[in-house]
Amino acid sequence: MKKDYSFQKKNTLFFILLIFLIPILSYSQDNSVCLGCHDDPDISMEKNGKQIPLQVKKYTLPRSVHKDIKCIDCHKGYNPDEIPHKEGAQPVNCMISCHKEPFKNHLFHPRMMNANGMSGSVDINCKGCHRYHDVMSPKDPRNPMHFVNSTQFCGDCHKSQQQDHIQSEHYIEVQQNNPNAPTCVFCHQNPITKGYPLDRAQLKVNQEKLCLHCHLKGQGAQSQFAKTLVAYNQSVHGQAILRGNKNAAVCVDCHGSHKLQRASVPTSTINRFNIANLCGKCHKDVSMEYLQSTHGLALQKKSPDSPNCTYCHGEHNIQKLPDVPPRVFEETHIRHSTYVRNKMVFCIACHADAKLMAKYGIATVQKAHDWLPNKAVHWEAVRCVDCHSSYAPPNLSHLILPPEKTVKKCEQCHAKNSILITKLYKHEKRLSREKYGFINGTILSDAYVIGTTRNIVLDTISVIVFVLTIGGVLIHGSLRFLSKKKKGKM
Amino acid sequence: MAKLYLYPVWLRLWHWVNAFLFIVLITSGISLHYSATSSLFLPFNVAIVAHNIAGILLSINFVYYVILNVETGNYRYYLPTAKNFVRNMLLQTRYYVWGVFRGEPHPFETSRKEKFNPLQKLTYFGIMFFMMPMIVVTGWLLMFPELAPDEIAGMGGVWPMAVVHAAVGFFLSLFMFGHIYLATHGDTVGSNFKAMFTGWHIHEGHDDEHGPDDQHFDDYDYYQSL
Repeated sequence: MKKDYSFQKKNTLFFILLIFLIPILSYSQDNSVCLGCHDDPDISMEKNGKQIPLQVKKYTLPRSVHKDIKCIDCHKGYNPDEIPHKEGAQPVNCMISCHKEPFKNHLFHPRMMNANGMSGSVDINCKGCHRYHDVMSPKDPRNPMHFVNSTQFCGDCHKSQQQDHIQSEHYIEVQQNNPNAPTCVFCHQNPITKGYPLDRAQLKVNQEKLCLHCHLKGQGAQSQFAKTLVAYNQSVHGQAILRGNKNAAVCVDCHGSHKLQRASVPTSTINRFNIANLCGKCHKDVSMEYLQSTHGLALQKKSPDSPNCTYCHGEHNIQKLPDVPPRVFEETHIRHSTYVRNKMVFCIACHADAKLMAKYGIATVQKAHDWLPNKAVHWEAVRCVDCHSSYAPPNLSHLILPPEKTVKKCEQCHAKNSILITKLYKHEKRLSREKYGFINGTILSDAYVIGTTRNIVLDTISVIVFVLTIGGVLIHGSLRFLSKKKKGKM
Repeated sequence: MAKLYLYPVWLRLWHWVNAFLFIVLITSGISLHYSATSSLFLPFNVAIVAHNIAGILLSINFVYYVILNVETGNYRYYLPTAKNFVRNMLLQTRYYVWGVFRGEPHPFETSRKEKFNPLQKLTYFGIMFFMMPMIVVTGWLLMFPELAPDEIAGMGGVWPMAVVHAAVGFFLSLFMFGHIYLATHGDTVGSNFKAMFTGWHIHEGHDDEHGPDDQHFDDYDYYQSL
């Protein structure tokens, strides 16, 4: 039997050809071929009158995240036999073949939405941050963009934010390699900055949600980070932001966006000595009044016991009632509910503490009101601030006066022409306009000091004069009628 | 029979709006004054809103009245005449307390030159140029108390405003009763009321007629010549 060797011959020929073709086909794809020239530190080219170095170190690419990529995958259409390798060569565009949707991973730089990745400032240019051949994985701790290093990396451009952030509690956690510590990208990958096409109120809602995401373990559950945060949504600020008030304070407005420090740090915005200035950013008038008050002045002298805004108003609307010894209620015969209703409990908590008051040479609330007749009635009807604050517009209770300037004369309250009532009336009118707007607040205001025009003498005289007038008219009219009738008969 | 067109449309409009607002203000004002002890006429919350709204409208109406008076020269009718002032007053008073019962004619007949008798002039002058501004200004200060002084002679600044406002209001309400009664002293009880609706003052005894078509009547020159 004759063997057919034609098939074997064909295969042998094919393999021989393949042995020659492989080097030919793979010649231009091998990075070592490119690096044969480009590893030379002297290699450069002239462009627009400038010498541009063209060296790529031998181990740069193999150590990068692009180690499996060939030079020509990015430098497409380059011919190694010709110099330059390509006519009209353009810079490498990462977004053409591989990274087609870069915005997904770069939400922290919202301007990148419309970027081409090739030109423009560093925040919209791939190479601005990722550089050239030494691109590293963001998970690689050697990467300057790794979360541990991001403060330094981003801070190259965002210097003031960097300075703030390195003083923050968040940065301390980052330094301790806490994987849950928020870094630049952790927060800024959310739509929280004005670079996003969102209205201010929505941005603030997003900011609030971002903070609460970590600081609150679900609705109504406090986390280890903020014990007083549970009822933030019920607070006046939380409610305002839910109503879409773009000026409502959210977390960062008080705590700062980057320099988030513990309250115990003296430079913290929420340090007890800085609270009045912090609240005064929005509540200017109140803050100014407070700072002039006896408490504000004491606080400025660094008195550790002087109450500040949050002492009465709470931190995140948590108004835990201060502890007042039961003895105080027994001595003064004031109902606990009255104290709570009138907010006097905040004053009493300190001012009934004999030890604390002795420290500052102040009489306790009981001793200071020995002179006051009908104490029980006064306690029920009059709040501490009614007598102890200036009653100067626009607010009634923040300029707490020293004892010598407080209301102490009976007629200051018990007279219809009292200066106190004048100020209260003015306050009510102003409040009405603030609440209902200028026109409605003016027309619909029911502010009126009942009885202010009453005077027993004037009232009596006016009734007599009125009766006489009506009587006079009736008599005169009757006489006219009678005389006319008489004349008619004649 | 004399027929005089004395009350132009703008004046009648002002007069009746003013009359309506006076009634609202007096009713609500009395309700507010006595609101501490009783609920006269209107409940407190209705009275205060009614008083606020009517007060604002009265002020606007008063400004309208002042502008039109200056514009037309109508204010000259109100200026008391110095000549024979006391004698004229006595004559008019004598008529009201004596002459009217004896069927005597009015001592000062209404004419195009003299719309009002001397007593009317004095009263209207005082009301329109003193009492009305006083009640309007004090009313606005009560509405915007921040514009009122904090203290007046050691008293709260609002209280004197309130007392002046109430006192002037009382005198104005007395005036309204007197005004309505004295308006019955025309040729007939209703003739003056009718005149204030039609604009025509009709008086028996003369055959004369001057109407709005009469040359110069509504003209500025005519008022200037008064």
